[in-house]
Amino acid sequence: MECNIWNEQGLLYTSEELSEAEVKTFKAHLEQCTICQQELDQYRKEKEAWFSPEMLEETPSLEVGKEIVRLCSNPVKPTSSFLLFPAYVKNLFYALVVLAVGFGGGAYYTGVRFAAKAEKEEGTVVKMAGKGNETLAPINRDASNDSSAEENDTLINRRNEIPLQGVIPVNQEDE
Amino acid sequence: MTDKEEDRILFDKWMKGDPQGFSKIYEKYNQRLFGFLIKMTFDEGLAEDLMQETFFAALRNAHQFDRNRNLLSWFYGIAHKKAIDHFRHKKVEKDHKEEGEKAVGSKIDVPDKDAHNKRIRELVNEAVLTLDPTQREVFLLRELGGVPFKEIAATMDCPVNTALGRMRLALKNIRKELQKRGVHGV
Repeated sequence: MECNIWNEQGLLYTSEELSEAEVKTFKAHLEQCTICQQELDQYRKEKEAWFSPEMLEETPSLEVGKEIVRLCSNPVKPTSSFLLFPAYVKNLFYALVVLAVGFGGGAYYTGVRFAAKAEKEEGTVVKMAGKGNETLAPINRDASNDSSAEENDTLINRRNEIPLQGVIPVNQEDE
Repeated sequence: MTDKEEDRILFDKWMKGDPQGFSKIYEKYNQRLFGFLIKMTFDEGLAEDLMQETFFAALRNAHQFDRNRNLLSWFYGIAHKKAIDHFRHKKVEKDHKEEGEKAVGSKIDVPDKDAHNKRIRELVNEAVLTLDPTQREVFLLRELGGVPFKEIAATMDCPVNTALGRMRLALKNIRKELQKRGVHGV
């Protein structure tokens, strides 16, 4: 004969893992259930007579014991105070580092792509129509080159002479 | 002073580098851990190796130990992991039981106590060694290590009810084995 209450709670009662309310309920049940009483009584007696640590433990060799004590007596001191934080704090920190690297890498990659795109459009000059708008000089990689600088000035002067409306892309090769 | 309080004091001494700290901890628990490991491995030499590994791992991770936890349960958790890792690595879990049956009564030395107790002790240990490995693990973690069932379940990565079921089967089978050997009840 078996009692489900013993199966579910009996052993947890002996290991003191039931909540206060559960202990109260189990004790109330125990007073009325002979199966649980017998199970509990038998287990307690066996635990004392057969399953005590003295009955089940074994002795390792003295040499092994001495070696373990010699090697383990000095604890490993953490190299930084960071190691003293609980594991979840450290894991959170690692996760944040990974996220930061991920976002940083993504942003950098996007920036590189935009820069590449801008380079493709390098030869384009944009002029906005309307009051106060200025003519934008074409981006010239060889701006340091004197002859190119002169060419650019000429180009800007010529374009300023033309009445413009709206945005007109102008190709450098127009010249 | 309770066991837990005493353990906390010894642990703190150990962490402060007081040699008495660890040697007292070792003195207090080495036989229980060795009893567990020898019954898990059926091999005295291997059990000694695993015990060394257990204490080394404890040493390495001591600064992470939650002082509110039970020290012995923590050692058992490490020892259990070491034993399981060993068997997974060697893939000898199937031969585990057969080796154990051969080893019963031959490899385990029994300390000199009075004859009756010695005989009962031998029979109980024989009965424990005949258990299915999962039942034996739960039984030893609970009885020898005093590890709570909830922690056993976490250590063995199974639901608490499974751990309880294994424990019940272990008790039932030990009783049956002892009856076969002429021991009828306590």
